[in-house]
Amino acid sequence: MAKITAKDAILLIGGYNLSSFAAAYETITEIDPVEVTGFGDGSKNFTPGMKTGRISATMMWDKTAASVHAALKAPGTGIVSIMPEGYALGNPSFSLPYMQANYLPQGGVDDSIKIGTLNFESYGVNVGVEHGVALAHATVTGTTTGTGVLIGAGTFALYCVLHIWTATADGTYSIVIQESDSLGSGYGAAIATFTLDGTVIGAERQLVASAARKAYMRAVATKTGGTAVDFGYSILLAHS
Amino acid sequence: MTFGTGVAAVANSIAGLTVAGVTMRDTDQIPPSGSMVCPIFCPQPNGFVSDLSVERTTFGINGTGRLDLRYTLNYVYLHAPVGGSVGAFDLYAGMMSKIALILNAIMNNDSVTGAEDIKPGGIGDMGVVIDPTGKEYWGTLVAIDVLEYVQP
Repeated sequence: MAKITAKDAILLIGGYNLSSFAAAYETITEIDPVEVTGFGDGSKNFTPGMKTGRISATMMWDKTAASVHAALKAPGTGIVSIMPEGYALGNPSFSLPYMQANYLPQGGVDDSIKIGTLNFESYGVNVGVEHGVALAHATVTGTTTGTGVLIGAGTFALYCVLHIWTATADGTYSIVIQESDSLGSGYGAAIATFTLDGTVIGAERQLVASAARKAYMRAVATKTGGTAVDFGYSILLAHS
Repeated sequence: MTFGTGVAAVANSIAGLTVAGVTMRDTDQIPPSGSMVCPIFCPQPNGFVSDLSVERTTFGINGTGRLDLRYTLNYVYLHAPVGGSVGAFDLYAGMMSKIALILNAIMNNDSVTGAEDIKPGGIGDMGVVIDPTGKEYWGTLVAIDVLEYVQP
């Protein structure tokens, strides 16, 4: 397969789409090796220990409302997601529930103001960096039913992530994930329902306990009330 | 994001600098010759913009990302016609003084409309330069390095 440019990456932090202020990112999954070498082993012997998950992002400064400084100046917790190849339905994604470990505004006389490299450490009960796919990334003005993505049938838990980066100024949204055995039809009741209603910028992760799952999954955003105004959101899905 | 409007804006800003005893000119004011207009500082018609480089600084394609745009604007300073004084080099010291004033004006006005930063990038051919008609003048070439932030 050919090389793929990284320039189209999408970086979402706590709901904020900060792609055009991000210069670089890195996702880190590490497993501590626990040595269990015993007498008679031909070489050192290790078994997997605890996993570590971290996402780092190098950011530019911006003081505009709903941008870098406003979103990141008070390190807290949230969800960070990256679509490394940009958005197309089913494109790969990385997500991580995080604790923001630092905030580093900096400047040099011959350079632009930067935030430096921020570290988002794994936070809460999770599995570290979640490698999934993108189900949605769009600006819409009303109810939007997504196209299904082939996840593959099986028994697994689901890690569902929603980022709202343009809140709707009128009306509310109900956002769910549905499954089906076929791509174009047969989608049943929601298997995951987000609580965010689209009226504020934010991010949310829903954990769906392990169960038998169907092959295709799609996202549906249903608008209630209000006029046709912009609503920007992304939905990412990973599984165990 | 656009390129070109920055060049015009920077050239206009440079033409607006005040340098005692020197006429500062914009791209729409390049004289056909140096006759009767010296001392004059104007865009060099042959190679006004050079050394263009574009560096991608953030993610985003098709105009949604941010770029650092660097280029050099090349100017010519015509001080006085060669042979226009009694002694062959009588005008040389005066030329040096004016060049110093021009460089000081650029260094002390480094945040101009159209660019994040400008600074002298070099001087060359100090001594005899020629105007578009081929006539010789005491003068020099001045390069001005420009940095623009191209943003969505």
